[in-house]
Amino acid sequence: MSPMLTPLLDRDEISAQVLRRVAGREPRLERLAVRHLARLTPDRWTIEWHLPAWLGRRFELEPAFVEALVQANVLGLLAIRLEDDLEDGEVAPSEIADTRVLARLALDLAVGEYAARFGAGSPLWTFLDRSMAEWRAGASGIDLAVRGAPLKIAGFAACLQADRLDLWPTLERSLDGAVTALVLYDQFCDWEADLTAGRWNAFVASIVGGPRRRASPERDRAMVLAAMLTGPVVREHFDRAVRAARDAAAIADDLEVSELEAFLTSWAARTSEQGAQVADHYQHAGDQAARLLLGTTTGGTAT
Amino acid sequence: MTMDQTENSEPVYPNPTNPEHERYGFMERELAFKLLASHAMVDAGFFEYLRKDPVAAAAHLHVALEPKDIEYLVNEVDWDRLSEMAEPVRASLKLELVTNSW
Repeated sequence: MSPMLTPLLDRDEISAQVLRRVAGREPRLERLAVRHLARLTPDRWTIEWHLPAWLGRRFELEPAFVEALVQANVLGLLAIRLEDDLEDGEVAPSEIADTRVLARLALDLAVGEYAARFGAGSPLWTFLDRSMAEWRAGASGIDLAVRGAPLKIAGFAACLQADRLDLWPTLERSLDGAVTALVLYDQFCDWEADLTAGRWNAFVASIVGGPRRRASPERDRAMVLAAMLTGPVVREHFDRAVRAARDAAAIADDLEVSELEAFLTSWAARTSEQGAQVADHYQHAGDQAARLLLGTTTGGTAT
Repeated sequence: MTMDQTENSEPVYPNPTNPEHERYGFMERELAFKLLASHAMVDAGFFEYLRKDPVAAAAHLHVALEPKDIEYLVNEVDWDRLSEMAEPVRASLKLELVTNSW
């Protein structure tokens, strides 16, 4: 865990609480939930796990309220990941039915955390419905920030609870930037899998255009790799992610959400280094390829 | 003042008065070969295209080859050996190899 992350978060305890909630409603789904929850680590899903605690400190919220928001976020994350897996055809046929039930149950339990704390007339419900609708409509589209729409529910709830809805639009901009940065990074790491599966991918699209312009996945893969070997596409993609993270960090700093700012600043620095490393690797491979073509002759050997 | 249209238009090289003119210099040649080699590295179809018809393959990437480079690609490159030697470079393109230390 990064040093700037909150020591208040007890992952094991929160996971245990989440699993108890699932088992309390559908005991037979507990093992499936254990397996999927194990993938959703705080290191990988840092903002989802930590945002309530960061905002809790900023707004001096009650620990019990913060804990409920963390549980809601983890349950919501579980629901969304399961829905993504189903959508992407990544669930074994024998588990599809149970996965659907678990996804619905996790979402229901997440919403239940808010229902226990916000009345029927609260603006939270309009916000929650809108966020989920945005996510469902655009989860695989080109508006990368939409992918974090469910994450924003906890942020809105924290502002509402602290009676600081005046800060929400600014916090929302920071979260949109953070999600954009993280999705850009993920899409670089997943570009080949996305291309093979026919999913829209920001990195691929920046090189070969949208799906309607595309040839076969094999041709597109070759075009992307050739661009990585010969042009600045890797560096530009990472720069875009790093810029989004730095802008989001600056906004978080203005809002005095110091742990969000620290996380994003650290992420941006690390990602910038990784981007340079990857870009150099592919440029070097392109240089090697050129040396081979220029030096592999019937009368000599390339070095 | 009016400009002579013939002076203003782009000359075509090589031409009878400048038969040795090259379309690109050393750096441009390096870049052109990097482009051709990179495409050949990642696309087996392009590799064969470049081997069999270098002029057309290069034109496909908007590269106009010099006669001496056409001669080089047609008669001097050992394509079978190049294919073998390219394997380690192809293998190095797997993203997991770059990211597994992260």
